[in-house]
Amino acid sequence: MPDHLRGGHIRHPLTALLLAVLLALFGCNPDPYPGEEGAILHVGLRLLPKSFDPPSVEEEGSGKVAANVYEGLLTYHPFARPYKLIPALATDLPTVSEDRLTYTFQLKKGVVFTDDPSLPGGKGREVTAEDFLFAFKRFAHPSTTTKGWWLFDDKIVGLNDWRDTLKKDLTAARAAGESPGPLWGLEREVEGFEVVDRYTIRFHLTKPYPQFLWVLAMPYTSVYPREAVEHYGAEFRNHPVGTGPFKLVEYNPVYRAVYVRNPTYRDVYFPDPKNKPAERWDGWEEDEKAGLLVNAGGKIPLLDGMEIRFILEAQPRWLYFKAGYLDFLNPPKDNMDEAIPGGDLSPEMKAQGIRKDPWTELGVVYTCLNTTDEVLSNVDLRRAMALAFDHVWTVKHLYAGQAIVAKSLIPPGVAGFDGDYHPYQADDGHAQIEKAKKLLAKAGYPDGVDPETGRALRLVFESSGSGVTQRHFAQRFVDEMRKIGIQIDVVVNTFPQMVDKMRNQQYQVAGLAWGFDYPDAQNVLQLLYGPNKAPGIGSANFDDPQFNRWYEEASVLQDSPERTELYKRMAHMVADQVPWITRTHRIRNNLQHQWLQGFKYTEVTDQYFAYAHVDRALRDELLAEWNRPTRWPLAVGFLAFIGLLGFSVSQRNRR
Amino acid sequence: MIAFLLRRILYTIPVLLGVAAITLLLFDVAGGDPVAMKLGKNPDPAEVEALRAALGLDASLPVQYLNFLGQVVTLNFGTSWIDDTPVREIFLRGLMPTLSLSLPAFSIGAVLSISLSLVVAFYRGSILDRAVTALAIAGISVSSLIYILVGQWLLADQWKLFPIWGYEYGPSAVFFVALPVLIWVMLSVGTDVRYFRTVVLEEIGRDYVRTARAKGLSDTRVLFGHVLRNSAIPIITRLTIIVPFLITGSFLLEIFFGIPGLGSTLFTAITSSDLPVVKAFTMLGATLYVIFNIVADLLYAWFDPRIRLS
Amino acid sequence: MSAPDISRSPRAEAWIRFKRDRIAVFFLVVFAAYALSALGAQVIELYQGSPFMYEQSLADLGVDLEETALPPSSESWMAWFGTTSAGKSVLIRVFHGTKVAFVVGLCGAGLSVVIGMTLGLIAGYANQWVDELVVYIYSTVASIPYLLLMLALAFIVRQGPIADTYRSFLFSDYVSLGLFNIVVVIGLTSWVTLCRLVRAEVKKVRELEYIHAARALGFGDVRIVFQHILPNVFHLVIINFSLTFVRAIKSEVILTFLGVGVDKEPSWGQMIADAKSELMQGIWWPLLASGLALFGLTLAVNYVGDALRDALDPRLK
Repeated sequence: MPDHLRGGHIRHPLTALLLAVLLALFGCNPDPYPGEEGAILHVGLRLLPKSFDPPSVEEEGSGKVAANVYEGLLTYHPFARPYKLIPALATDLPTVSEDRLTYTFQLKKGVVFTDDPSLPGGKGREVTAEDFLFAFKRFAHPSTTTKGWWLFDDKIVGLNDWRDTLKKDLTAARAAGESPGPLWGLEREVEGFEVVDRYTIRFHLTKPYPQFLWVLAMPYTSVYPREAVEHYGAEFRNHPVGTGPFKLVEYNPVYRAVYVRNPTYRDVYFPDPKNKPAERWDGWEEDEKAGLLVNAGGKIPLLDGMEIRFILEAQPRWLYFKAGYLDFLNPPKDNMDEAIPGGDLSPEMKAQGIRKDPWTELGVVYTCLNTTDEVLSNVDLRRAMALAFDHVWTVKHLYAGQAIVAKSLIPPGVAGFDGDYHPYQADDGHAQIEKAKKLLAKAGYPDGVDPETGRALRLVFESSGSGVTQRHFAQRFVDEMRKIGIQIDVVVNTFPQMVDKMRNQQYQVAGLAWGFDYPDAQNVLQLLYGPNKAPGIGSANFDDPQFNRWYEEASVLQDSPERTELYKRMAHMVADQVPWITRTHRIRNNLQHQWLQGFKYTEVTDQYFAYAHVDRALRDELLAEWNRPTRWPLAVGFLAFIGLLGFSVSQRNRR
Repeated sequence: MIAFLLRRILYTIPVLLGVAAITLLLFDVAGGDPVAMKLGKNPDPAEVEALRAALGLDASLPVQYLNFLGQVVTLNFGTSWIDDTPVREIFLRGLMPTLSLSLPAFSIGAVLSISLSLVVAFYRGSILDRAVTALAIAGISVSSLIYILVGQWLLADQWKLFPIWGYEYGPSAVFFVALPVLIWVMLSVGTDVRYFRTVVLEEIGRDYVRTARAKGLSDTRVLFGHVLRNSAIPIITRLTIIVPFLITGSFLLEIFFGIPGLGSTLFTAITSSDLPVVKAFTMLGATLYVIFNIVADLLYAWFDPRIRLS
Repeated sequence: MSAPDISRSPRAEAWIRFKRDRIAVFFLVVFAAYALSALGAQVIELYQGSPFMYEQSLADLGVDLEETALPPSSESWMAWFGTTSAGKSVLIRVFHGTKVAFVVGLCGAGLSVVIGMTLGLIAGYANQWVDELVVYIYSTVASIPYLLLMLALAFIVRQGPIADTYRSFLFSDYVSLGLFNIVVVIGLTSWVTLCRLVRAEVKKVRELEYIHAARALGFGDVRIVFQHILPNVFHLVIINFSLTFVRAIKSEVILTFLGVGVDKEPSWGQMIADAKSELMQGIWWPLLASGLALFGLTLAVNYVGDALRDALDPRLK
């Protein structure tokens, strides 16, 4: 028997192991970016991105990661409000023909794609009109999986025919035993996409389409080289090649995306309104005062790089921000996923120098009532339900004050907004129970009792997720309906299930939210346009002939008093017929650390990070101060362990 | 022996077939529609049909089942429905992070619980024994979610001893998995110590121990020479059976601490109705489970010659 | 020391041994207290209608506090543990959560034990084919990753025909679908261990002489199983029940966190899941209260279960 195992020293191996563990613990420190240098922007994303491939960039996750490597013809001004379109790869906003059916764009010269092995010689080559043609055609190609086809559907001359013919031919080719690739037939001409010369591209529309310019600022219409698609095939979704200010250098779809400054980025400069009057925009003085323009005149991107981490859980995301490992905290775009922690900055946050940048979102939270459901087709029932809502309570408790009551489905600041017409919502936003009960009786459900069953009327509420906040909202709805005697059964859905139900009209009541893709009321009114109802994008299956007529009339008008009047009328009808119970417009707070510069949160695009800058020295200094490890508990634990060990040894020796 | 082994291996086949069938059935009933997810707002009915055919959803269930079996045999599980990444790649990408978390947790936990249970059995009845046992029971009476929430908040945020979230491939991974490993060990040590302690005590209670001590052998020698060896059987069997779970990982820890491993992958796949990934991981998990059960049986037989038959 | 009284049954012997462990007795009392609370909560709910009716905010009840989340204060007994973000008393919420814990624990563990015990008895006693079948079933079920089984079952139960059928029962007003769902999930996923143990034990017991005697005397199989074999394996059942009870209430927390648990009634799992975002806002008292409640019950059942095992299986002490 080895000596060290004799007589009571059996704990040596154990002690050694635990000592080793303790040593490891003492070596620990909380820095999640070991060995990092330079001005790097740290972003936390609460979703996993799906793809960099422009036709597939449709949700927040993919949008955020793809935004800064790709560019299209147009983009948004990073600071101007209301949102303003500015040229990106185009030299200027397009020349539009008299009949508003032809849009001509000139491209900037000398813009190059980033260096990439898929390109000839591994070097980035110049972007031409042909590249845009390729990108647009690919977007419309039937083999491209995209949810954005509706943006071009029936809008471009010859495009629908092109697409339908391709579909037929593809089916025939497959039947004949061929295996056509995803770019098969792409070379066929589309009348509506015209390449005039190397730097000029022209679009021919089938009818006036005022939202067309907004579409050209969306990620769907970014430009990329054909060579990359052919070279990477399906992997192109993970391997972007674009013209944007940043270049992707590392990507793990379940962990993070890392970028560096694009060395071949074209010349873009931070606007300098103070010294250059031509670059001014409405409200630039406020932005100046807020300190956003400290880097005016500098060449974009100011940052050396960027890192986006996909932090799905709320607690670690929040803790990361608090500790300074995220430069800003970005509230979620759609979904009632998270109640923002607190309305006002806590004293600790103020002491850290955290800034709060509030903005009212371009969107609306609403309760959707399926107007074709046999019970809910009763308009008085819907009106009664609307009156039972106490929006003030919701704002105060479910949003911690970070929302305004939605008087209309169109948010304030967007043409068509009318805050005065809301017949089924009290002026002060509180519930009107008596009025609701009367209407309920009129609807045939006195005191909420269903005459057929003799018990309370039961409705099913579809909750759009299993999160804590969704549960609170569902619970709130249950409580509010109980006030008028209606019983609610809550069904919790995953996202795919919810999509399913919406598409197949299989629901009664659903809690939803809509975020605008662009600042035009048409973007929300389209959801109530009859022909769009299920299996389309429409919700509530609303289909009113008068509404449809107004909608069609407005769809060909440019922004004008006539169009605004039509929008107002449609909004009034929605308030009357209550296919939706509009609830709130959320107020979002973009929280920023004091070392972040030039960052003004923009809702409609993510292509403005390049204007941001990070004062690295300041950040490192503050982080070193904030994140000093507290090691005394380790010492205490260690001593306690030694004590216990000693105690048991003495016990043993006593025996 | 060989016959025994062969029989056991053959037996796993119907089990795996059953697992495949149940997985398919469960998913068919419980999963959402992937076509809706991919095509979204306004899909063309023809496109819907084409996509369903491409995904293999237009076939009847029995046909889907046979396709599934084909995939298992050729180890080709296709691509994820969420982002078209090949399942194999998803698996390989997540394997290292999960192992970097589960292997240290397992080893440290095993060593710790075996040592503790030996110590406690050695000093049975003493204050140390009672203290450790009480702590063990208290430890497993707390929900794992609370350990995670409080652990992250206290140790990472308040005391700043560990990174709050995140991961680095390579040696730096140590710092990032330290806290989740600690939590995992805390969660498992309680149960293991109780179980091992019982096993060891049972062994100590046997006649031969009394005889050995009566003969004058020291306690230490009895403990290490005989008791440990004989307790090894249930201890090792139990540890062996846990191994498959090291690969499937702990999805809670991975999600909260940002370890991009297989646990969170499986969780995301289930909630996003990503059938190819779910199928692959389920078959993998089931296969590992049955394999390690066989290994445990073999070890059992090897340690205890009395059991070397079917 | 007096001579053992040989007229006492093994069960009585076990009970005496149990009583000697004073801490175990203490925890038994604790458990009884929880059980009474659960019963009380259910009675109150019956009296006041469906579960959330009683949950008036403190303001409604005339207590003069603001309606937002408040730390513990001594203003009113209801505010001893503070209020949640909706102004509801944490203490009352925890009290009613006891009912959910008990339903989950008793019914979930009960279902699991019934399945495990029955299948174990059948497998152990019946002929080889039946035995093989049962072993096959539990091998397959045990091989499926727990997460998948749990989530898939949850989805199945909560949507579609099963949900509709359940909702048509009257008592679904008192035991919500979510609660039913957890019971089913736990019942269907936890029975394998007991089944294995019972099966092994039954195989041993089956060979005992007095079983042979009983068969020789012409007793029917069913009678033999219930009258002679079952009592010999029952200690396993009891121990397993206490373990599964604990597992059940801890699973409720995880399941609710994942969103497939209880949604209608207040439960400890809900409060812990809510703590996810509440901690960020500095609201720690709901987590403390529900965590303590959970800890207390789990500790009690664990300790009593341990003591039971020691009492019923004297070789260990």
